[in-house]
Amino acid sequence: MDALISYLVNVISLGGTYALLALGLAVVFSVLGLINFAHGELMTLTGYVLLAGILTGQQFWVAVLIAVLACGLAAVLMEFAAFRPVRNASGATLLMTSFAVSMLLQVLFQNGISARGQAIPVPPWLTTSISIGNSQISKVQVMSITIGILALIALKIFFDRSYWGWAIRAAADDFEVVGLMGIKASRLISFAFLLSGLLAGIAGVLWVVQRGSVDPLMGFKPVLAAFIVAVIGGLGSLTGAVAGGFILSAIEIALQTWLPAGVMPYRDAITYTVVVIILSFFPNGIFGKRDQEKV
Amino acid sequence: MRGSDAGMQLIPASFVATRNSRKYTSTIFWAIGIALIGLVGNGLSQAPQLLLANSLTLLIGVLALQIFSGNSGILSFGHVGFVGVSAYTTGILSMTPEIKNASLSSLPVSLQEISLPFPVAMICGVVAATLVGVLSGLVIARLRDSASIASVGILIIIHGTLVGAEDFTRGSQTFFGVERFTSVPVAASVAIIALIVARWFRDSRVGLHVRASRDDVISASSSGVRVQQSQFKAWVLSAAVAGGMGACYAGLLGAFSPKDFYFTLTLTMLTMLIVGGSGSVAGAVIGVALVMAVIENLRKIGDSIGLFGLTNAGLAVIILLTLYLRPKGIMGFHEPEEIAAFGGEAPTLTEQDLPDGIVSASEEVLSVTGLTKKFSGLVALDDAKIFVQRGKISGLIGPNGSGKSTMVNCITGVTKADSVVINLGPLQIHKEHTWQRARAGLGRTFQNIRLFRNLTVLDNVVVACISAGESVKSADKSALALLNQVGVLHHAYRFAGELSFGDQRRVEIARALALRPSVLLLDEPAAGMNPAESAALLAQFREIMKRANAGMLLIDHDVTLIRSACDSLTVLDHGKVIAQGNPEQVLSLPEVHAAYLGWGDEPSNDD
Repeated sequence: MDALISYLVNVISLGGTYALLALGLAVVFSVLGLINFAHGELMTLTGYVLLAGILTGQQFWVAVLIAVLACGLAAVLMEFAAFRPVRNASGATLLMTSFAVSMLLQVLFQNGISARGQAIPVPPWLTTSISIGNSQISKVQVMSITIGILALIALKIFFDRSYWGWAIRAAADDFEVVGLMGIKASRLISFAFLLSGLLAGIAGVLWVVQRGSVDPLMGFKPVLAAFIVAVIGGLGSLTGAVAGGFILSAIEIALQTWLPAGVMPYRDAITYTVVVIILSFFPNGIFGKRDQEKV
Repeated sequence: MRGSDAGMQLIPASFVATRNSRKYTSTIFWAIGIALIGLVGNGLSQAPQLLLANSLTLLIGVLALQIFSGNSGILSFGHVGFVGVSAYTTGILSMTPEIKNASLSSLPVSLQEISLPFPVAMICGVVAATLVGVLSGLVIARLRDSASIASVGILIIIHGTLVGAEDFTRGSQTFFGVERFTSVPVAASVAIIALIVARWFRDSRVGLHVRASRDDVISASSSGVRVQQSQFKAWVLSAAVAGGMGACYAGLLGAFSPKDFYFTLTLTMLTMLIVGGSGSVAGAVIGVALVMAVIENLRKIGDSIGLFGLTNAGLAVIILLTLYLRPKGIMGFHEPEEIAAFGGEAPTLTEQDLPDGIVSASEEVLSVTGLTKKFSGLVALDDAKIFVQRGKISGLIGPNGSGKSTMVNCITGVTKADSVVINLGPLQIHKEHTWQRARAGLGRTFQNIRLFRNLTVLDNVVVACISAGESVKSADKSALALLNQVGVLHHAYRFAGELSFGDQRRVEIARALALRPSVLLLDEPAAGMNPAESAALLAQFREIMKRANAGMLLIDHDVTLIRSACDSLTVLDHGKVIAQGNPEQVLSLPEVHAAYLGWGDEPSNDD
């Protein structure tokens, strides 16, 4: 029972982060057909801004807010500087562009800040834990679950109720329709990057606070996971991104908890093998729409 | 009966003289250059020797990427994984038992005692990479949009396995003690093999099919291309060649760890591929040479000023500049010999009397019945039917949105019908895939022309000839004859995307004819043409049909054209067949007029 509770808590907290990252990827993919490798570097940037905020004596929540907003802004700038010149290019070109941007940012962080990890001074009240039944749950995890769930609910309302949310859902369905509805493509793309950046920012804060440090290559690995999440959910599918996040997290944590010690080193390999096998049964992702190209 | 070969007997006179595009001129040139490097390499001092051996080893890997990514258009991040698998396999199998005792003490006894000669171990490395390629290819072949991301997954799986298999690889620690076997001549020999394999593949049957699907998946499968299978074959072949790089890399480095086969090497190799132009073997060679030169200089500068990761930053900047300024890379999609052939003389054909086509008695060659298709509740086609007879033109008209194109797509299998029975001659084809229907004799054109834009006009047609079972050599001849028949022979070596609208349509018709179809489905072939042009086109259709002994399903808006062309006519409205039969009678029916309200009964030439 306790094992199950702690399993679920872990799945929800990691899955929530993956879901936020994958949603950020899905939003941009919907409007641009771009799978953004550099999404992870936005997370890393958030970590550094958060660190700077705390070090300059801001209150924790103020620093968090600034970091998330900075990340949103950085995403908009990234689109402007790096992706605008290749906007109408093929998916492969866009993917390669983002891969190069990601590599470039990593080198910039390494040289501009430090190649080594920097500890994030998390407020003391966050480092204690609370107990549910016999199991201990750290407050960081409680925070991560709460923020993750609140963000997902807020997004759900945003996509269902607001004009821009509707526009992005329409774009995810068929980008050309949006043009017909009189929405300027540039503006929608900028907006999608802003949203995607904010999501990366929230995920970045959760990630950094859980690890307690930030380093230049930090964002790369979770974003690789989020890629896979977005793909098993169905590229460009918003529901799929969330579902995929929890599926991957469930597999990952299950292996981490119950895999025999002897095979533990193969954990990543096994996780991704499972995922790739899922993908081979659902080539368009579990929630992906079947290809309906107009002929 | 399939269409006869009538009309395909022409053998072009100047064929041999102008068949430049399939010559290996530039490849032979590169191979001789590499062979020379291999010969003089051993005389150089150590530093340039290492640089040359390293460049040649990377060239092998970039050629592997070219084989898959260049031809299919799907970026692969997974190939470095194959390089790793092969490097470790080569290392483990070639080491002496004494060294293994020291570095890999927990290796299973059977492997402890094995010590193969290095070249044999290299072959085993290639085999291992190929096997992993087959396994991963089973997944990759099923994907298109998400294939690149799945290849990232494959890289992570291989990396994780190399790190996890500590008994075999020492985990993330350095694996050492591999014989430094890869001298310049060794790397040069393997590179030459890779070069020839890559160039051969590009113009092979599978290679042409993969390139066709890179440009347009839907029209590729409508031209009989088995997209998934071709993609699988390309993936496995390129995994094997990547294995060649791994085998050389093991003998070059002597000591390595799993992180040497991860994203940094991936970035390096992809940069080389993209700078040179992924679509050609020449591009791979040029890309490796250029990028190596830049990396070497950056490394020196970085070391002297103590900047971290300057080479990675340099590679990233090179990629961005290439994609911004010249997205297709230096060589674009073309080999130098293709560009030369393009500038060369147009092929001509000796005039021969065309054998008359044998038109058999009015035999029903295509029958489609009970065709129903719903799109999320909306009924696009409701129990529709249509028939085509050999040697006759069957017309299909209907207002916009009445389901004409959906009908063609359901017949060809591009869209899956909810229910339908399709007989093509004696064959029942409604359960078959698009490519199978195409090979069974269903040729089509598209409303919004879908050629393989980056292939030559000749290759566009050759792709379909190959589907019909021809070898590349005989396909070249048949394709030239077909291009002559539709009147675009002089454009044979141009790239399809460069042609005028009208000529592109002609190429599309030639491509459809190359399947030796028993039925041609033409979706608004006269769109954008004036009455004189469409009349000429019509005469051409009659001639083509006679020669190919095929039936034709013609969709058009142009009532004049339909009236004069068709032997029978079907009218669709809201997914239902509202009239079928003799064109004159059908066109005078009041319900047909009602459906065309706004068109009136005056013949119009709109669009």
